[in-house]
Amino acid sequence: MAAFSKISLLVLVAGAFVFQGCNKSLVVKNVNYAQQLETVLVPDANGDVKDVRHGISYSILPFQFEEFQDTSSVQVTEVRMIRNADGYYFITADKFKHVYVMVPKKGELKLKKKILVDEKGLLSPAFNWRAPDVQLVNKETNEVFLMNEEGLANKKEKNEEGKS
Amino acid sequence: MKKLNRIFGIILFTVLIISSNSILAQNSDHDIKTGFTERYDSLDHEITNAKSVALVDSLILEVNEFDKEYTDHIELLDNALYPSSYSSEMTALYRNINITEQKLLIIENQSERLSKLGKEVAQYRSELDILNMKSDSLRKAIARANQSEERLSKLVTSYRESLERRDELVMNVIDSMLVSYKGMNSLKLQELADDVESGRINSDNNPLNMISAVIEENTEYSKSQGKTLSVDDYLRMYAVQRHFEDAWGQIGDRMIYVYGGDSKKQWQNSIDSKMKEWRMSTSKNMWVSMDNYLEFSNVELSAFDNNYSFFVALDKFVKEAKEESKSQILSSESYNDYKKFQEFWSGKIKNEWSNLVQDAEVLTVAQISTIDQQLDGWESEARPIHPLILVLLVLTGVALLGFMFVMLKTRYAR
Repeated sequence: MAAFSKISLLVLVAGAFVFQGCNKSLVVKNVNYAQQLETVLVPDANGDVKDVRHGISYSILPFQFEEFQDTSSVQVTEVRMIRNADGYYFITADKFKHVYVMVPKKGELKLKKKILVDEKGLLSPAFNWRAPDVQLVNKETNEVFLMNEEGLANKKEKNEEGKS
Repeated sequence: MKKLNRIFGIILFTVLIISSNSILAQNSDHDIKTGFTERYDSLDHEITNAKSVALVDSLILEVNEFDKEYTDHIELLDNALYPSSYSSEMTALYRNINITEQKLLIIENQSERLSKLGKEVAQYRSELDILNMKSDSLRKAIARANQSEERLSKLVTSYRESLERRDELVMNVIDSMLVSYKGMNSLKLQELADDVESGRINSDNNPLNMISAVIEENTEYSKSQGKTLSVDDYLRMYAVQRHFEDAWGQIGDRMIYVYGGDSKKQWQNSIDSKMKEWRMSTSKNMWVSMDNYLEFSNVELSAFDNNYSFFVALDKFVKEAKEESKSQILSSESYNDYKKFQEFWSGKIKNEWSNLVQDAEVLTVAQISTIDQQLDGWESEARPIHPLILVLLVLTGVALLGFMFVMLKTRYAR
């Protein structure tokens, strides 16, 4: 019986090795997902946005609900989106108080971080890619924020970038 | 000094505000890209639709400024414009400038030429109007018929000169147009038509109106002639019409294509119909006057009313006269007919009217040559034998007979 158990174990270990060998996946390291220029998307009547250039489409309504607790009508005129080097999507829109850091999953975008940037709501936001961070500019107030998927990296003062 | 410092301070503050604003305006990469593409499209549109070389030159300066303004953002724009790039977009813009400038230079040159032609034609038009007035008043004066013989003769001469000058002008009008439009290829014609349509080339004095008016006026003149004009005048009018129609045949399609607008078919039909009327009128006048002249000169040809029937009538007349001459050895009647015809043939057809006859193809060179050969035969047949030659012949015969008689008599005497 003990011998039978040993043989079974041996077969199991060998099978595991063979199985692992067959399913060894190809992994490419150091992929840079960074989008050099933000995408500005206009939602349709259903709140859907489509970025043809980068091949992604989704509804803005879940974000709108997070911000305004209202999905009865589309209240966003322009959605701003940029992707950083690690592949996280940074999404915001006019009148939003937050920037949403989203992780792409199979058929979904999952919230990684919700970054508060303006209690009153952004009037005219715009993203820039300033490696390794994402820069958010509030064009109305000239405020500049640097952020990554973990949150604000550094909040710069007005005109600071321009002066540097 | 204090006031000066204050002014300096205000200027410095303004400059700082402006410069800081321009820096702030560049905070969004997306705005830079949008600003670039909007300005690019606007410049491209302005260049493509520029209507003068001067405007293109000022746009070149703007494009240079634009290029300089965005040089700092080449990397950003290369990414934003992918799969295109900043340099390829700018190259395309500069290429558009060159193409537009070349095209406008050609158009301005054409436009200049056409404008010159327009002025020439307008000048002819005003000269024609003056001559029309002069000719009309002369015709009325002749028609009054209460003038003295000498005065009437002077009036008729002036009238004929006035008509001759008028015909010269009409020839100049069509020749100027022929030179300008004949060498143009379809591409140039298309450009011209587009430019006329877009207003780049002024078509206020539409040359088709001028052509149409000239044909109408000439038809009127041709119809209104009394008996004051001679065969020369009608031949000239006929030659002018033939030349005008021939030139129109070469450039008419092109001019209608350029200036016909939406009424190309109507223009074509209208001018064709007027041209036909003019041709019929001048043709009828010329053949009738030729017939009258021949009748007056006692040269009786069979009926003719066109180039071919005229040649057939001449040929038949000469052949028949030649045959008739064969039976008239001693009579000089046939020879007199020959001389009358020869006077008309050499004096008028081959000499005085020679140019008009050839220009209007009243007779071709081959036809003239055929008649010439027939005439040589007619002359030799028609020339009567001189009476002295007959006397000499009789005397020679008598002398021979006498000589033979003497010889025979001497032989028999032996």
